[in-house]
Parts: sequence; structure tokens; C-alpha cells
Amino acid sequence: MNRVYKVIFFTKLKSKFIYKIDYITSLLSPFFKVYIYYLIWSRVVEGGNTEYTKSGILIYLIMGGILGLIFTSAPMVVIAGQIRSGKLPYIILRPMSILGKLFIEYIASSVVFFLILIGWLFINSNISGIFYIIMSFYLYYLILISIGNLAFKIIVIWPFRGILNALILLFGGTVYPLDLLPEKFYNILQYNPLAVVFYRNIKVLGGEKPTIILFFILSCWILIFFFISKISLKKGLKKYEGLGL
Amino acid sequence: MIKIENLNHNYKIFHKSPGLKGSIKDLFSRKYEDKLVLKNINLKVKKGEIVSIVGKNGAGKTTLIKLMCGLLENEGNVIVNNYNPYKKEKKFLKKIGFVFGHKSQLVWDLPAIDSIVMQKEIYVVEDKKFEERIKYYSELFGVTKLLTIPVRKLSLGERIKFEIISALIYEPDLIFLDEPTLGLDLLAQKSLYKALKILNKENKITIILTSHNISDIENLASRIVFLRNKEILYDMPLDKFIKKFNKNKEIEIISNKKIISQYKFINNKENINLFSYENECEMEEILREILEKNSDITSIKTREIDLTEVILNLMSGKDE
Repeated sequence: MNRVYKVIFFTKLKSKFIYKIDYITSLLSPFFKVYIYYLIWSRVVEGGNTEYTKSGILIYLIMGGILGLIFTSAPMVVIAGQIRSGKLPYIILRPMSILGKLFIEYIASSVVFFLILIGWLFINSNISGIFYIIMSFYLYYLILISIGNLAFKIIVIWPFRGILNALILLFGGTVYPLDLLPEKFYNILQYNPLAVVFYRNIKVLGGEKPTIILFFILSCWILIFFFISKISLKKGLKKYEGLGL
Repeated sequence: MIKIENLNHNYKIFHKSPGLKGSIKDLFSRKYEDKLVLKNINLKVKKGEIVSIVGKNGAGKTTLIKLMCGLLENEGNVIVNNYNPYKKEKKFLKKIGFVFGHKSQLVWDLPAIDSIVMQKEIYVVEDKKFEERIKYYSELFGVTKLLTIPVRKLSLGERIKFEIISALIYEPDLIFLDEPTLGLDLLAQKSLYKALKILNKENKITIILTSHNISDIENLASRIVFLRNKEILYDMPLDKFIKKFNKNKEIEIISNKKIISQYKFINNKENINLFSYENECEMEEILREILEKNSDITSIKTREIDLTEVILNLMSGKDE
């Protein structure tokens, strides 16, 4: 190998090892995806479900896709990017709430599709559904901020984006209905925070009205992730050294 | 305005083991160590002062600024405007401004005016005052026509001008300027100095400046804080600082004949003769004597060591 290319090769390889957690997670994330696709295809091949016919699955997937346009991972990417690029001081040294600013920006980036969905629920007289989608949007934002705050510790969080996407596919039910799973698994997974955000919202968009229990569980998750995001931000800022300034 | 007492500050760093083997080893165990970056810092800044923090790379200038504006935690020994800056209370943040020349606070894809309007809302500037200020600053920097052009289309200098406008638009009590003239042409630098001096004079705005552009220090600073080896080496008014290090003033006389003088040459290579003097009187005496006793003098120059040279000498430790 040409000497120069050899040096380039090993320098890049060494730089990969600098961020240890990132390296390990980037190695693991493809396995998650493979497992999810295996699960989906095995269920499709088995068949036999009456609710999810070919057209039922298609509608479910379209709803999942529309939700994906609103529930993006932007806040996580933004906060991690600001930390890494050294631009965070311009947010934290301004007299305003960091979390408030990021939330408003998140709403602004999703507002068009969001209003369409709310309009759709309104036409279908699903008022509790409107409250549910707004609250779950806030929950997802808190989840993203909690993950984004990891950038204070590990700087490069892109592999976590892959893992989050994989977890959404696996436990959020965006590419397959969770109730296709065996009952035992479904009972365990149905109220996990990602299912509460994605799977339940797809059901709401499909005409289901959220129950009181569902609202209660959603509120609990909001409370939990509210504290996680606050504490992780506080701890992160304590550790923050104004990198890049 | 600013009170810092017995401040020490450490950073946590780790040394990467050499080679690929070392990189793999570091994945599992990494040794961290504390690196002292500021040692026993005591500093008081009064309202309305313009203080330039000077020192070579790694001297601790930026760390000191980060501690003063609240980015880094302190042990309660940094007080700014009667607040501990690390607590980032809104009342404190509303009164400080900052420009980090190499980092942008403007929204990249939108015209600068959009970012400046956002500042107006965040810092609650009245409409009338905002209109007056935006007109004044954009005219001062000659960027009125650029207000509606997306930031990404601006040159570095034009962008910096808007960074400064966006920091000045709410007229803070205290402003931190880190390399504020980065990329600015001489005209723009002059405009910035003018604007800051007016603000300093009229509103008693306090300015903390770090810059490697000597012109910034010469034109703005009333006081210099020189950092070396993590400590404050000198803290004094700029004029006193210059006087202190400007002892070796020189007279250079070029003559075709040998110069006769009772004063000591510090150098007389070929036809160039150098004399040193300490004050104006001494300079006059030397010149009078030389002109009386010598003919064929082709040129006479007096030289003073400038601020750049003084700072360079201090940075490289030549004074030790």
C-alpha cells in the first residue's frame, strides 16, 4: 500500500476508536435492523390475521409514514450538533429556556403536517385524539432531548440515531402493528414509550379513541422523560467546557 | 461589575495511547488527569472599563471569559453584575452580550435581519429603539443593503458585522468580544471601534476583549490583563503598560563619517549609529550634541518599541 494511503487509513481507524461508545453502538445497530426485518417478514409469511389484510397493512404503513413526517428526530440532531460545533453558548447564554427554544423550533419544523393531522382528527370528531397526538408529540420531543443530551458525554451521537430508528421500528410499531406479536410480547410492549408515541397514534389516526388508561400512561411517560431531560441537561451543562470556542 | 477572587480552574483531559494498539486499549480503559489552566486569578473590573485579556494560545484567556459569562462552573468566586454567572439567571443574561468571532449566531439560511429581530424579541427591545439602532448600526457598518440577503451569501467580514450588530442591538451592560475583528477590513474595524467607544462613553458599557489583533487592543482597551503560565502577570492601564515596557527608545543616525558623541552607542555598524534614550529631554540633549559636533549626517530617526513587540517579548518570556 502506498505509504500516504497507509497513514491515512490508520489515522482514520484510530480516530474511530476515540469515541468508544459510538464505535460499539455503530457496530451493534445493523443487527437490530436485521432482526426487525426478520420479524416483519416472518409474520407476513405466516399470515392468518383478519384485521390486517393486505389493504389494512397498507393503510397502517401509510399512517406510520405520515407520522414519521411529523415525529422527526430533529431536536436530538440539533442539540447534539450545537454541542459538537461549539454553538451551544449562543443558546445557553440567552435569557430563554433551552428546552423551550428547541421545542418551539420542533413545532415550527413539523407544523404543516401536524395541522393536517389535527384537521383530519377534527373532521372525524376525534377530539381526545387531538389531545393525544399533541401530548405524545411532546413526549417524543422529551425522549429525543434525553438522547441528544448524551452528546455532552460522548460527543458523537449519530449511531444512537440508528439505534433509535431501529427501536422505533421494533418497539414503536411504525412498520408493523404491535398487536401482530404474540399476546405475551404485545402485553409487555404495548405501553412502552415508543409504542405510546407511534403505535397508539397510528391507531388514533385510524379512528380509535384513546382511553383514560392510555392518557394516564402517556402522562406518566411525559413526567418521567421531563425529569430525565432536565437532569441530563443540567448534568451535561455542568460537564460542558464550551468545546470549540 | 466583575469580581474574581482566588480563582483556579482545571480541565479534565486524557492522553491517547500511541498507535492502533493504544486506540483499542483506550476503548476499555482511559486515564484522565486534571490540567490546571488558571491559577490564583484575582481580577476586579469596574463599570465602563474596556479590558483586554492578552496572552499566547493556551494561556487561559478563553477559559477566563467562559467563567465570566457563565459557561463554566466556578466555586462562587466569580461574581459578575452581582450574580454568579454559572447560575445563568435571566436578569443576568439579559445584561450581557457576546461575539465569538469564529462562531456564528445568525441563522444561516435566512437574512441577517431575521436573526436580529429574534434578538430584539428575546432581549425585549422596544420597537422605536430597535428601528433607531438597526438604522444606526447598519449605516455605521455600511450593510443597510445587505440586511435582506441570506447570511450564507455574505462574505466573512459582512457576516461578522451582523454578528456585532446582533450583539449590540439590545445594548448590554457588559459585552464579551472574542476576536471581534476577524475578517473585517480596516474601514469596518474603524467603524467598530467608533461604535464601541460611543457605547462605552454614553452608556458606560463594560467591554471584555480578547484579540490577537493588536489594533483592537490599541484602539479599544483602557486596561490590559496579561496572562502567562496560567496566572495574571500584569494588570494595569494600557498607557502605563506601554510606558513600562517602552524604556528602550532609540535614535538612529546615518552618517558618512564617524559620529563623535559623549553618549554611548548601543550599536554603530558601518554608517548606522544607534543611541538609546529614556525620555524626551534626554533625546533632545543627545540630538543637540550630535548635531553640534558632527556634519555629514544624512538621516535621523527616533524609534519606540511598539505594543506588538512588547507583547511578543512577554509572550516568549524575554522579559524573564
